[in-house]
Amino acid sequence: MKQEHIGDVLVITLPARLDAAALADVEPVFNAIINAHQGKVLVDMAEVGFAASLALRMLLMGLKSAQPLGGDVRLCSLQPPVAEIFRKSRFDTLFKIYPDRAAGLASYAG
Amino acid sequence: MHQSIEVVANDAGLMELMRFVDDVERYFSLEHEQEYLLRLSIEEIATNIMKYSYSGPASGPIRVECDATNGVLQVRICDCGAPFDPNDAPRPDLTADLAHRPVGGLGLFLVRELSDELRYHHDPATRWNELTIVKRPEAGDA
Repeated sequence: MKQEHIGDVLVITLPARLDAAALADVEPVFNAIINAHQGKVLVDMAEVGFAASLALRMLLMGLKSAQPLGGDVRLCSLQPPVAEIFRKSRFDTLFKIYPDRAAGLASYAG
Repeated sequence: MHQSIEVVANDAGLMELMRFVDDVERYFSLEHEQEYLLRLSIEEIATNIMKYSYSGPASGPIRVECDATNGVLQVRICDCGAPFDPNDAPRPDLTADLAHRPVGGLGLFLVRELSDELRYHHDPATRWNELTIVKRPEAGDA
């Protein structure tokens, strides 16, 4: 997992496989940096080829913790199989999702 | 092509199952959607077994068998914990807003959505539960 600050946006790049094994490492760090940032977050999913329900839960928890503090968690660059999981679970109605990083960053600039 | 494994239903067992999925992907020629469902179903169902089927202090075995014949992927996941037919599980409320959106039940829902068939069988004599998940190849490929 990579994190970088672009302006006032925290961009988090998630690893290729978000299964139970990976999430044991990723989830505590993800939660900690979102809680510490308390602002605009863009999660770049370009590398994510697999996401299980635990990954959806992690993102949902991130959104729930960011929004009351005036922040947001937006997503970009979902690969087709992961986008399908978001559609089927209707998580695409909970998150603002952008086709690429530039569009995601632009959404915060407006 | 047939591969099987038996692990103890705990975190170490789940990691073993994830490595088993890597092997199955390597040896089977599966379509992308079948590979996705293979990994998803083993993770979600094994996690549910650990949480609900063996909910007491004692764990037990999880047995997974994968078979690909004529392009049809069949994943059989067995345990001898509490009987539970996933087909009887209520659908999670996917229309709830953020504050009320449930996170439980989502894994099983996704497995049901992505598979072509979900068959459950409980053998009262041996007390094994057997869940079979089927994913056929895309139309025209078979």
